[in-house]
Amino acid sequence: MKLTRAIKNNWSGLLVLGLALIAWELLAQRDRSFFFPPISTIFSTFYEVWFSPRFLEHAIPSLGRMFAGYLLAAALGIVLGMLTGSIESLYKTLEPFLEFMRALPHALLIPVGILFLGIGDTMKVVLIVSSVVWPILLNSTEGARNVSQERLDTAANFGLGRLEVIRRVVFPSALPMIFAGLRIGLAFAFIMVVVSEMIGSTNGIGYYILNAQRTFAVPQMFAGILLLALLGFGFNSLFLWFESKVLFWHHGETGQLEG
Amino acid sequence: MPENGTTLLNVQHIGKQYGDLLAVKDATFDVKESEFISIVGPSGCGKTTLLKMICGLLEPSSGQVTIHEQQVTSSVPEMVLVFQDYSRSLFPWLTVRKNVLFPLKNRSDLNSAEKERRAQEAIQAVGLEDSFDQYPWQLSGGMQQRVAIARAIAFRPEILLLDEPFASVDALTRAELEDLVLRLQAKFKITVLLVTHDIDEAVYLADRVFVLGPPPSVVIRAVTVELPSPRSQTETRSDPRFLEIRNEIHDLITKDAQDTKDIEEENTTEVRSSLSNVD
Repeated sequence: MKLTRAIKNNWSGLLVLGLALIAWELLAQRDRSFFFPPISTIFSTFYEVWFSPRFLEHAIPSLGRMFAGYLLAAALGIVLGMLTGSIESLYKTLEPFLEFMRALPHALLIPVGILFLGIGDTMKVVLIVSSVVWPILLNSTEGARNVSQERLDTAANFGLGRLEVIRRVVFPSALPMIFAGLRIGLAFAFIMVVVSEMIGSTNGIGYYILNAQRTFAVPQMFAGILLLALLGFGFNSLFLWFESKVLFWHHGETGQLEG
Repeated sequence: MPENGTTLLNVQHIGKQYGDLLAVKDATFDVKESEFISIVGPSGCGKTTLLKMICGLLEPSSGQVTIHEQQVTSSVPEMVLVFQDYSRSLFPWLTVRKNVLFPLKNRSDLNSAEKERRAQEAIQAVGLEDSFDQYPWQLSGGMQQRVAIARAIAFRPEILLLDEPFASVDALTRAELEDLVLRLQAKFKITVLLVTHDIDEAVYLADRVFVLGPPPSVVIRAVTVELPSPRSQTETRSDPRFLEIRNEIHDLITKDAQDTKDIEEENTTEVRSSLSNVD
């Protein structure tokens, strides 16, 4: 039911996707270039490569690093964001630093990470955290700073302590902003895990893709890219579903709730 | 009745200065137990600032507030303020029931059954027993303001402060809510301080009306409203004495506006335009 409705609502998007795949297939069939395998070959390679122990060998470590880094960054970003957003003096002190860190291209941290932490899992997780934490932290801070005065006054009026105000009023009020940060962070986590695996690793999807390219295993390289694309799409959809569950009240309040 | 009640709240020469702006100059008055006080004055005369100072949310620049002869320096459990903008003071992520339970949650002196009982009682008292598990944004403006009032009542304050609580609802809902507040006051034996710019509303509800002058505010007169209780939207409002008091207050505010005309032209026009709204 839900699937048929989703297809009905997105038929034009699916049509474009289908046409692109068909065009790829036809062009590749005509060209027969070694570097440009037909999509059907990529699909069958995808099946051979990933429906095998290789999934455990490469995909699982990537996902493990990604989630370890992502969850750590989320916890760190939200907690620190609530504090910097609620305490004006802390905000004033840290704001220039935070803006600077946000502006830094995070891939730059990889050589630094390798220098200090080698090429193990710690390096990758630390790199993911140090990239993902900024959008989450900055959005949480902004969310905490934008809580309406009436809400804060209401909480103070009922005698809530400072930490209680943060937990029961500031945090839920900031959730829409926090989720916006978490969503940007999810994309960052994907990028950082792949890039860090390409530069220093012996397993992982990023390593697999780069290795396939270096050994001219072109369909395998595309199979790796396809896996990443599917995982990215899947996690983003999962994220949106989770967000709609948690933030239903926000969508209701702003009139975006689906009937 | 107020004449022989004991003094509950004492406001002495409080004023509030924001930088160069003097929001409230000097407000002094007493409020007795179970009294209903309306504070009426032109828009922008610092009424909200005054209420916030009384309940301890805002520190006065001068003067002091005492309740039961204890000085108010921060929020006290005896006073709860209901804001004009209910959509901002209610929590959209909580249901009606949980919004009303919100202030009780950190009260260690009440067990959870007692908290539930109080919330239920308050919600029933404002007539929202059918909306228990709905969210504020699913309710109309008038119903949302009822939730805010129920939340305040469940906390059992001695004084309920209402900051233009009916300013953003339609006229019929407004009359309903006015009577609701009168019923709640009788039922819970609560003292009420209501701020409004509507002279009729002020007179209809109150035992005494404090008339504020144009900014920076001072209380220019306390008018005792000797009208029979319970009040009725039709009878009270057509009582000749109601009209007499209403006109008296109207003249007080207009006259004051006339007096300041020479001193501050701008303020006067502001006061007049706000007066034409309430006529």
